[in-house]
Amino acid sequence: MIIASNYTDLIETQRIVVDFPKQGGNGLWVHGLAGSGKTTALVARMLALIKEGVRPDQILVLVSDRSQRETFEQALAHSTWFINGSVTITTFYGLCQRAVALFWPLVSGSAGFKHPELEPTFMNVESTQYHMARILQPLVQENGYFADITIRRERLLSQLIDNLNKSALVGFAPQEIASRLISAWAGSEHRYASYQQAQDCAMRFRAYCLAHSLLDLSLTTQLFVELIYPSRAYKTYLAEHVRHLIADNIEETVPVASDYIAWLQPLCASSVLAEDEGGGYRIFLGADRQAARNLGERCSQELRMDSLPGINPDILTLANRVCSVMHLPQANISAVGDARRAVLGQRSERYWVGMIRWIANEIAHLVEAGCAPGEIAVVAPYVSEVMRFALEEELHERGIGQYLLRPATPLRDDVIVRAGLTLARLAHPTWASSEAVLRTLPVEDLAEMLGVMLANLDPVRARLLAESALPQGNMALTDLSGQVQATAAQAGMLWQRLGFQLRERYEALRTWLADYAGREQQPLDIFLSQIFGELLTLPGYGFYLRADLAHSYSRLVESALKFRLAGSAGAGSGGFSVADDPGAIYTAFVLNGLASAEYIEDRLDEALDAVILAPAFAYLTRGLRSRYQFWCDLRVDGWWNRPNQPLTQPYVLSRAWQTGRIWYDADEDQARREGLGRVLIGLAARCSGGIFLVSSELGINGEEQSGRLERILQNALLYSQNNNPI
Amino acid sequence: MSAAANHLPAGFQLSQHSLSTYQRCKRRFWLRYVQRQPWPMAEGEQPLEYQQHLQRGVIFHRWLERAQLGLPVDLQVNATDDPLLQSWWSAWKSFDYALLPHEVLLSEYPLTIGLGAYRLYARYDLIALQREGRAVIVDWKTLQAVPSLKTLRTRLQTRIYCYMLACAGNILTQGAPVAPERIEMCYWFANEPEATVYIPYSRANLEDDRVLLTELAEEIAGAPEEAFTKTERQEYCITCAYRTLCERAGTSGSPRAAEWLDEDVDFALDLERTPAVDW
Ligand code: SF4
Repeated sequence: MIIASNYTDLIETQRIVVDFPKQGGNGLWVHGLAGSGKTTALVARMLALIKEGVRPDQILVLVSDRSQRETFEQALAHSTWFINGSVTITTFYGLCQRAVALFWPLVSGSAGFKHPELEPTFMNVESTQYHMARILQPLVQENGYFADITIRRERLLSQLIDNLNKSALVGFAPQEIASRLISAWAGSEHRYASYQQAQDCAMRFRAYCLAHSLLDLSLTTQLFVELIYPSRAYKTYLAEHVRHLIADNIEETVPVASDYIAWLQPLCASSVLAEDEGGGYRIFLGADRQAARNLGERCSQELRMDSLPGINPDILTLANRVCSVMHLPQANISAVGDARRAVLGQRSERYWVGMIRWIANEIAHLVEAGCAPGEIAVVAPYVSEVMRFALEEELHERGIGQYLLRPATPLRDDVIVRAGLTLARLAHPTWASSEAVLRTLPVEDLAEMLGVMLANLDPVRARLLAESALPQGNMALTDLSGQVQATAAQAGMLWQRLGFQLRERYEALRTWLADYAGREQQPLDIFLSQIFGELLTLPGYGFYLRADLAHSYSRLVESALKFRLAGSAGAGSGGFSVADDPGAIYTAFVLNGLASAEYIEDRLDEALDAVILAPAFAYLTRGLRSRYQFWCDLRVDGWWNRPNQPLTQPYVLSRAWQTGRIWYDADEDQARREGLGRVLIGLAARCSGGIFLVSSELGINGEEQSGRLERILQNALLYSQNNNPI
Repeated sequence: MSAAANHLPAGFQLSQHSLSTYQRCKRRFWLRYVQRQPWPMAEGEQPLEYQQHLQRGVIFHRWLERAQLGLPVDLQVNATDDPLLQSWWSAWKSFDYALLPHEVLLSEYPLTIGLGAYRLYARYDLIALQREGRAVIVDWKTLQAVPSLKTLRTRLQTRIYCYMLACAGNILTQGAPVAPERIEMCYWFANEPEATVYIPYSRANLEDDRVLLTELAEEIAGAPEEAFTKTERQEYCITCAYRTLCERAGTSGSPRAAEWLDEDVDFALDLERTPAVDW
């Protein structure tokens, strides 16, 4: 984003935001399209407040995610000439978590925790999923829960967790989950049982958390909302800590956050709230545009930012035409452009790979013409591993880098994570009897690990080595030193083919693991750190001087540590039992594909100057902007359909939903069209140069694709060509 | 002040820890603070104990912050089965708050000031001041050994904390700057509370520190990447997590783990303020 360094660089409406009174408890509601300069105005106001002598730590900036926080932090960073002090820039959940940790003694007794004397343990995504899985497993196996639902286990878990989150973020009792879902369900009554089972899982999970002082997102939020911020102690604390409120992207906030802002406003000397018209992409995460709009309307003043310094009217006009074709509300823009000028290229290929190749060629032309790769984005409804790989290869051939932005990366998808866990399995032979997925070690997994951990070992040689090294009987690498009679002949031939240098390294790895297996066992995260330091970073091994590879490995270590800490919170009285090895449980959990998490390191590194590949949702919610966008896979249903969520329903579990109403197909259709309209307007508002429309008749697996969005886009362009009023 | 060299962006955040690290090992500064290079090797020789110590430090600071806010803490404190944490707590209970000014009392207070092209950040355990009188910075130290008074006086933390309060204290007093002569740095040691020291500050100190910090910032700003070299004092490498990346894994001597531990406790405290879930 552009940060105006100077008051004079601001446009008129932005100056109004900066000059808005800083005393007297007034609230200003600023709204406009993405790119209309709202955030720039908020940043300028923050800096102006400090310049005028406000204590920086008494300014609270509420943002919708970490990437937005960075925008404000960058602004502070670039203003060293007068900034003294630290502004509190946080997400609503960050605020909740910090407050719960601090005010814990106020709530631990009254909230029903079995051990109020213990400190709370905040769970990350993986730990929450794990503990829910632990509750779910016997219910599925012994009680036949969710037998009628065909869905992958990780999706089942995330929906069960999502229900609890919705109750906390929307502000209804968790006991109401099933009744809300049932009352809106238009299909067969068979589904009722699944909803009741989802309810049961939610309550069991909550009881489990209360028994073990574990705090997931839902419990943390509920504690803050119901017990902490209404308390006198918190109000006293606030009086010292918050005098001015700045909230950006309120349309992405959840209803209880809107309530909090409404409660906080009169306690502040000033407040400015900004809303991105057409936003509200996080509806699946509980965002409520209407609650945010109500909040805005209660402010003493309103300001619409209607000048569009960062917006290309041609592209927005195209998005508006699409909305018009779909009978949806359009973006409110003053200048109407020419939709045809927005489209710089269009292509429909027969095959999916042809589409990828065409995109890569067009990108290469843009780069040749002087466009930086980082100014180009390829946006699809979702991005598979195959797509990431295929485009990356094509771009790589053309000397261009690619940066994948995904909302969450399953840990299992990372080759270094898998290799690290294979090592862990070899060092802990007893794990093989604990979890089904740990019972056998496929030769492919072993070959992959050897290829990662031993330097300069290509896949073919790694496979050869793995075939000989594969554990026989117990989970330990085969001794290929040549000193064991049974394997001596085989080893001799093997090393002749692979090179004797490799023998030394392999044997050092094998003996390190065997020694470790004979010692007192350490937690998994410590094991991973130890072998990393004592072997893997030495000459001849995979991480020797490889700073670039350490990110993934570090992510694994950190994740295993957090998992252990969350699990051991209830050790002895629940959590992991004494017999459990958290390392084995964690390893099985990751290998079963149940763990996914987002880490700070996943943030876009602008210095990379690479083409961004992103699902539309991730692109829109990270506040990205590009000069050129490729809207690709236009025939894929994902542009239309929301994910199949048989156990939850974001619209029904929202605050706006009227109890007793039924969710019909017409509601679903309307919701889909509105969602698509929002996405296209959002993308259009974030593109300054032009867009490329790309599709393929056959999908990634060779299936015919319907092309509904593509047809609508063609219609919209046709109308523009005929100059047909819509 | 010269413009920042292009590897460190303008506004880059320095802290007492990053600058102390820079003084001890430029390479570690580069890796840890500029590159944010993960290198998941255990920092100490006893990794589990090291982790527990970090965790203990975080909990202790949390308890102090609660107590400072007047929140009841006894339930959690009495329930801990960690004898060290218990002994720290009972030691703290005998800390004489009457010796501190009390018009403004701020715990876990973050402050940032400009330093040339960069920013200098500190999070104060406790600032206690009288608007027209004394201003005492209290730092609760959970180090195993108590450094000498001379070490504490010249310690970068002492210099930076006092300097920053002198530069930006006006935002706390809501007007008058905090004159350097009014500032004291108090180090309290959980393992040896009787060794508590108060170190006075002065205008001369302020000028010296301004020169030192400005020079340090300029040196960093002007340095190309190659200038961030490995330390010559290899005893620092023994427990440094980057020792294999630097090919210093075989270094022998007496380790200086406490130096990095102090830095890591601070890191963990800042990390605690970053929730794991993005919302
Ligand atoms: S190992 Fe030694 S040289 Fe390398 S960063 Fe650490 S202290 Fe510096």
